[in-house]
Amino acid sequence: MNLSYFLILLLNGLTFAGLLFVVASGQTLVYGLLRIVNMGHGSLYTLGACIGYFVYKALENNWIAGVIAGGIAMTIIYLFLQWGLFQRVMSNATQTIMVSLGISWIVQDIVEGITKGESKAFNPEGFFRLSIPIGNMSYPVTRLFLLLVAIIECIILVLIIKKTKIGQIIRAGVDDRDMVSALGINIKAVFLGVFAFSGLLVGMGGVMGGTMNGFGHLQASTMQMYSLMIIIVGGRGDILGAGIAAVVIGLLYSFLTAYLTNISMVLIFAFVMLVMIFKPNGLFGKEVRRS
Amino acid sequence: MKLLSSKKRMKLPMQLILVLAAIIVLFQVPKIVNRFSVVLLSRILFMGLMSMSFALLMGCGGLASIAQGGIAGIAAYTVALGRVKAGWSYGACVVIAIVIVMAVSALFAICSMRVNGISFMMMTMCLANLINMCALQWVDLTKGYNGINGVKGPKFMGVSYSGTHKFYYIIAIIFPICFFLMKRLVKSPYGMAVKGMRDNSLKMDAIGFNTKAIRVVLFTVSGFFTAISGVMLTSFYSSMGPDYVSSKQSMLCLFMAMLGGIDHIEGALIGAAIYILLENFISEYTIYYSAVLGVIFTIVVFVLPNGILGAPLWKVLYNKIKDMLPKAKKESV
Repeated sequence: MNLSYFLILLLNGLTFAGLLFVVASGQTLVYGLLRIVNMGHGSLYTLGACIGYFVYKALENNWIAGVIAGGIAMTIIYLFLQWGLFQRVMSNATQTIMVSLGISWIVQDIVEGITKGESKAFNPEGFFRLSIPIGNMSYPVTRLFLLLVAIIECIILVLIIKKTKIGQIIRAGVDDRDMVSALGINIKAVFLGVFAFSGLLVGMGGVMGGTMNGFGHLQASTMQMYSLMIIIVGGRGDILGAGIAAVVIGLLYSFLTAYLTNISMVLIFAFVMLVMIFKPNGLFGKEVRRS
Repeated sequence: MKLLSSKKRMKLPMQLILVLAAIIVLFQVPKIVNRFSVVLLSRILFMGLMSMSFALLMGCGGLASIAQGGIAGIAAYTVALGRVKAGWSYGACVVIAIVIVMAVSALFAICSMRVNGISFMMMTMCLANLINMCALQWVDLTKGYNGINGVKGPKFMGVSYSGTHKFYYIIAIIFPICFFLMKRLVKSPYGMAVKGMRDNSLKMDAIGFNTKAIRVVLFTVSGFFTAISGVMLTSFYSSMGPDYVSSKQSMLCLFMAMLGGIDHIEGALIGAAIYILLENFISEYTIYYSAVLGVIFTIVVFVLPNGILGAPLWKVLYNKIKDMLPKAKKESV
């Protein structure tokens, strides 16, 4: 086996894991704290990519501006979604799933209308156009940048959740949110903040993922699937668990598609199913109180 | 939730007569309406059966399985492969499909015993995606995106019931019988035990019910009905492809059952009818019909959280009629 080929596969897996982590880490917090399974996450990811694409085109191929704009736009949209829709149905898990399903259909059609059903991709200029030579192949900088963002984000999130007051509230909320709100903490504001934060991540992830794989309305269900898989494997509300799950699934994806192309996705899903059968609370999840 | 319905139950002969009447009415439909409406009606019937099997799981047992589309897909693929590749007879294919699906359902129920609530939903979604990926990637068996074409229907008394128009008659016979069986199941003592398990599984355990067995049996029975709907699907379209096992299909079951009202089995059928008619009506005007449906769906969740059959309107009407009835009785006395 060629060493540089192996290295490329490894990097592919890791950068894909980075993307998955950026997209899913917000959602795992939402799932842990708000108990909302956001079925619209995948299609909102593509919407973020679309908005980023507009800004990127308007500012003469300024990629970083696209990433930031996608993030900010999705933060605002998520704020409105939580404030207008999800807050009102949060007591019922099935209803939240249905509302997010409705949103996902709407957004998917909007994205289809914007992109006209094509798959588009970013072609950043300047520094982000460079690629690093590895053996006899080269590797684009944007992917490595994505990996860097994911790692920094993981460290920041873990620090926030372990060390700060807000993190304390979030950790307590994952365990027992009724008790937290009984202690006089405005849990609604915390919910709003966490939900908007997941929007920020999904918008940034949308633009960066759009650079990696291209984006279009067909990407929505794929990303939805992966982010749910990471929630399942990582355990709910567990950032470090989500990170490890992302690395495992990203590497599995990269190596299985290279060596066992015909059954790669089947094997990944079989892996997730096995995790669910033997560790229903995720690979690193602790026993969760029933509510 | 009322455990025992105060309404008087219909007697068995009466129910059988109703089933027969329904079959006869359904048989007359193609003579009255045009061919396209018959296609729509048969789609409503088999999608309704699929989402009714979901309502059986979710409404009675509280197990939100969104793998119904996938499970139906297993049956559909079994029939399609058996008919086209192996060339078995139709009856044999159907029996094998139902047995396979029931085995898969039971196995999945045993595997998912420790999972509840939203996690259960995610696990079933995982199963649905697993089946979908098998359909897409196991090209040697399922032919991937190309799908399997030319699935012939059954042959009775020299008439071959294949294709959309002929197969409608088979659906018209099978559907009322399945509906009847489901209604009987929900009202039976077993159905009561299932409802008890949904409301409080610990108490049911303490009373002496084997809730694990109840759960496995419920899943298997629901799998049986799902398999029938899958068989109907593939025979109706005469083909099978990965689109029919996509996670959207499973989501549709959820959508229809919720639209009609999850506490009632027949709500799923009403939801299916509304969805398919709306989809047809809206797609005449715009290609973005699923966005319109999404808007409608979101509004329905807020306005009618218990679905159409769970709307307060029916209760008000029922009470009004009830108020009127005793007066009539008094006058007669």
